[in-house]
Amino acid sequence: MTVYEISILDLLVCAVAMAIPYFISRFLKLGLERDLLVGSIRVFVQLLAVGYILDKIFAVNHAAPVFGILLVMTANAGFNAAKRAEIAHARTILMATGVIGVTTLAVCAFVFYAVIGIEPYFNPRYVIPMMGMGLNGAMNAVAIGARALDIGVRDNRERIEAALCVGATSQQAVAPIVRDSLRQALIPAINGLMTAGIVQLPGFMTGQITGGVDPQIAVRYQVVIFYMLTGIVALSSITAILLLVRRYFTSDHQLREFAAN
Amino acid sequence: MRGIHFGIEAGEYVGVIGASGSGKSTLLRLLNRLEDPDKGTIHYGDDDMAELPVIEMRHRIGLVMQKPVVFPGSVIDNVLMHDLIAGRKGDENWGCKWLEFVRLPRDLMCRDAAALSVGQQARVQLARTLSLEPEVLLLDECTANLDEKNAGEILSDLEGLFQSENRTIIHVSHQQTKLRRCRRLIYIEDGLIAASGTPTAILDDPGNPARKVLATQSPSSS
Repeated sequence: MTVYEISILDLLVCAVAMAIPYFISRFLKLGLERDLLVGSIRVFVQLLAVGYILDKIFAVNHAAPVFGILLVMTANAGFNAAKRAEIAHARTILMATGVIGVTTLAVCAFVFYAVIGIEPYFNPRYVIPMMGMGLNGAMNAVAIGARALDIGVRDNRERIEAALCVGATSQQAVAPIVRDSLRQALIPAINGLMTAGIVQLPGFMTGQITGGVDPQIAVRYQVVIFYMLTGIVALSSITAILLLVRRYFTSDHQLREFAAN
Repeated sequence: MRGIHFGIEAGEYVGVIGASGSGKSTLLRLLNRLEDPDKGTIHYGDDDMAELPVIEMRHRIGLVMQKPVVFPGSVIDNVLMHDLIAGRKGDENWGCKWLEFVRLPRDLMCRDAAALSVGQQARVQLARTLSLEPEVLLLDECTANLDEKNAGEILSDLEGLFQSENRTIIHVSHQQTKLRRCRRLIYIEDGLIAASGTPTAILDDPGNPARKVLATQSPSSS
């Protein structure tokens, strides 16, 4: 099968598509022109840079640069998750980074070695893109879950304290909010499972098919990705929420005065 | 609050008065251990409250908050919430006893608590705390959402019940009719006890600052 190469000039031609939202924003006064322009340039520069780095990593074929880039991706995911959840402090960033990194690594390791059986163990063609998808899923789940928890605790302060007043522990008092936060974190992943192949052809599979892989194999990989992502989303969001919920209470089951941001 | 030093005897019915933000609610929250003092200690009997198990203390010192809060579920589940929290099915008759105490009919017990009026929710909240049988009952303007007749009857029954069992009531209110039931009033100003005495000594003294505060807070009920 022929793989059509895309030149830099082709990319610039494709950027014409970005003119559509730009002019809509301008015409309807949405005020998004600057973000669209910066976004268009960033995606171009960032992805070309990543492509260049991946090229070098594939050529070197050594574990150190693979884990190096994964560390950078994990740190970015942790920072962005905490920032999007509006809880970006040194401790929460560190916590989010740790949770996202460990949970993604745990589930991916299972998939890499027990399901696909990759060799060598750091095979960058599998490890980097699949870990990247896992980190992205974990980042979104942690951000959504942590934000929902923060809003839930703030909005339900009176209800939490009313439960504490009748003898609930802090864990019992906040349990409905924890459940709701977890549900919110999981819903996008579950929706993805429901609509896969019906509404959209998932990106990984699309990439493989356009890259020349047999669709029968590509779909199997995509199923693996979906299961892996759902596992990561569940594990990362519940771990982050359970770790975060402790900061809202004292050891004497008192809701802190400021659920500090 | 700062520099506050006072004692309350078992079986007393004490009223707390003060302007908005003076520290009345904070005092009740400290007694229920929803907060702890930065400095100083609160003693319960001979024990420092900070040393006593907090969950047990919240059963023994029940707080009824100003704003009615109900949990998702039926009225009876709300009243027996402490049983549900402890993972056991509560005794419906016990719950209904307290529903009737707060002038709510038994028939309401299966209704969705969220569908009740604010006044009814306030009574469900009171019944929830009463079902714990606390040794000390902390009322934070919780009868403000009730009509005068119901509030008067419930407070009268509460007073009788708690007095007969040598239990204590600490009642934050700005309504003179309710405060006159108390055996003693404490007036808090800027986090300090500015006056203390019988309702007659405080509410009937034209020069007492507590009287002025009550007049500005609730002109209709004075």
